[in-house]
Amino acid sequence: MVFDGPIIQVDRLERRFGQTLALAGISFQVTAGEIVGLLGHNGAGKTTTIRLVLGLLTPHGGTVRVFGLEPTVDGERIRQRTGVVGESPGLDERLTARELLQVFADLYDVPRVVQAQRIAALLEQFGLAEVADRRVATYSAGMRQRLALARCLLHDPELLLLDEPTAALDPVAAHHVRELIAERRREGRTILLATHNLDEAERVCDRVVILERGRVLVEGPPRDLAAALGVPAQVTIEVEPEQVNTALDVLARRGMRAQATPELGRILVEQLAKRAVPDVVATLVGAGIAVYGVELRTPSLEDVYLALHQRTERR
Amino acid sequence: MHWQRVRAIVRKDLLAVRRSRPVLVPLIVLPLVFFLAMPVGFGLLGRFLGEVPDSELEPLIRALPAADRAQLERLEPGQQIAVVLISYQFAPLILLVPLAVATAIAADSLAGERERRTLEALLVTPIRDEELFLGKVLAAVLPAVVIGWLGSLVSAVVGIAVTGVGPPLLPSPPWMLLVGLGMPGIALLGLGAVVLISARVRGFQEVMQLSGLLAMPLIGVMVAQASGLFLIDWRLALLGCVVVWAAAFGILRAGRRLFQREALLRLG
Repeated sequence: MVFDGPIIQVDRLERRFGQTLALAGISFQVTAGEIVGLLGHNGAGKTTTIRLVLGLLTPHGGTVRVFGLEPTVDGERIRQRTGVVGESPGLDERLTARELLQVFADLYDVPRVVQAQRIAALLEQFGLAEVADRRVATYSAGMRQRLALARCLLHDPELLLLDEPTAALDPVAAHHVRELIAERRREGRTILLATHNLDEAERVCDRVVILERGRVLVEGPPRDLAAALGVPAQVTIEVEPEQVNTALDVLARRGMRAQATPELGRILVEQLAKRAVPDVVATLVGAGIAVYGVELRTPSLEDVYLALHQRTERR
Repeated sequence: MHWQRVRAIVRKDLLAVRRSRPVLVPLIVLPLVFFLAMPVGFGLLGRFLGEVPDSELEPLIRALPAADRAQLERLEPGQQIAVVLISYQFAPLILLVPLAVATAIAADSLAGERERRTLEALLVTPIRDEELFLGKVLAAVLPAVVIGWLGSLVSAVVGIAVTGVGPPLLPSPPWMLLVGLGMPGIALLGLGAVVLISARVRGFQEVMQLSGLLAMPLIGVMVAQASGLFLIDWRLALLGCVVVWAAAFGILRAGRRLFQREALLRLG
C-alpha cells in the first residue's frame, strides 16, 4: 500500500532528559521529495528529534508519525525505509569499506543476491571503489563521510535523516558531500537535514525549521523567511570617497542608520526596505553627492537566524 | 528472529577482534600459557623432580577421591605430581581462558563500540534489540568455547604425551566436566558480567579491569586446593558448573533487560 500523507508528521512533540526539557512541543512536517533543514545550535533539539523520528527514544508528549507509522511501535519498519548519517560517521575503522557495507547490507535485509552488485555500484558512485579493500582507519574524514552516505543508501531508502553530515569536514570535503546530497534530491528522496550550517541549509533545503532550546522559532522556505519576519535588506552605496562624511550627514538627517565600510567610498545603510532605495539615491544626488553604484543584499538565512536569536535573547 | 542480521553482528565483531591487538593478545597468550605451557611444565616438573618427599605429596594425594587415589598410587612419584597438578589442583584455572576470551571480546563489542562511537550506526538499522543482543552474545561466547575446547584437547594430548599417564587420571572426570560444562557456562557468565558493567561504565579498559574480578573465585578455588582444604572431585566440579550456569543465566537475563536501544543511547 502506498502511503500518500506526510513522510514525517511531528505534532507537539516533547522530550525530557532528567530536568532538562530537550523538546518543548515542536510541530512540523516533511512531505515526499522535500529537503527540510532542521536548524539550531548545539543543544537546540535536532539530534533528539531525529532519534525520536527513528524510534530510538520515546516521546514524553505529543506524537510523531513516519510513513504514517508510530516509531516506538513500528521502529523496525521505519528504519527499514530510512537511511541515517550521523555527525560521527560511526564506522568501525578496523573493517574495510567493502566489509562494512556487507555487514550493513545484511542488517538492512538487502537480499544476498543483489548485495555485491549494489555495494560495487555505491563504492563507484561515491568514489571509493579503488580503496574499497583498505581499512577505514586509513581514510580521510571526507572519505569516511562518503562511506557513511553510501552505507545509508544500501537499502535504497525513501527517507534520509542526515545529522550534521558536514560538521567535521574541511570545505572541500563538505562541498563534495553537499553535492552528493543534492544528487539524492534529484533522485526524489525525502531528506531531513539537521545542521547548524546556515549556508548549507540555504543552498540545499526547500524549507527550514529553526529550533531554539527545544522550540520551533519559525519554519518556511529559506528565501521567504526574511520577508515573513521583517528582516530588512542591507544596501551598500558607493559614493565619491571625499563625500562619504557629507553623505552620512544627509542620511542621518533623513533618520537613516548608515555607516562607512572599510572599503573606500562605500556606505552601508541598515534597516532599509527595498522600495525606499530610489528615494535614498535621489536624496543623495540632490545633495550634490556623486553616487557610483548601489548594491542591494537580500537577507541571508544567517541574517534571519541571527535576528531571531537576538529577539529570543531579548525576551 | 532474522538470522542474517545476527550473523552480520557476529561477523563484524569477529572481523574487528581479529584486527585489534589489545583484544587479540590475551586471546593468544592465555591459551598458550594454560593449554600448552602448564601441562608441559607440570609434566616436566614431575619428571625432573623424580622423588618428592612423601610428606609433601601425601596431603595432596590424601585429598583425592578414594578410587583415584588407588590408581594414582600405582604411578611413579613424578607422574603422581604431574597428575595431581594438571588434573586436579590447577584444573579450575583452565576456565580462565574462556572467561578471558569472552570478556575481552564482549568488552570490545559493547563498551568499545560505544567508545568508538559506532554503536548508534547499528541502532539506526532495523535490527531488533534481541537480535543485536544475541549477535553480541554469540560473537563473544562462540570463540571463547571453541578456543577453550580445542585448547583443552591440545592440553590433554600434550599432558598424556609428557607424563605418559592416560584417562581416567589424565584427563580426569572433574577436568572433563569443567571443560565440557564449565567452559560454556563461565564464558556466558563473563559475557553477562560485561553486559552489566558496560551499562554503567563507558570505556573498554574500565570494563576489562572490572570484569577481571571474575577470575578471583577461580584463583580462590586453586589456593584452597593448594592449602589442602579440598580437592575438586567430579561431584564438586558438577556442583561448580551448575552454580556457574545458574549465575550466568541470571546475569544474562538482567543484562538483556538493560540492553534496550534507549538505555544504550543514553550511555553512548
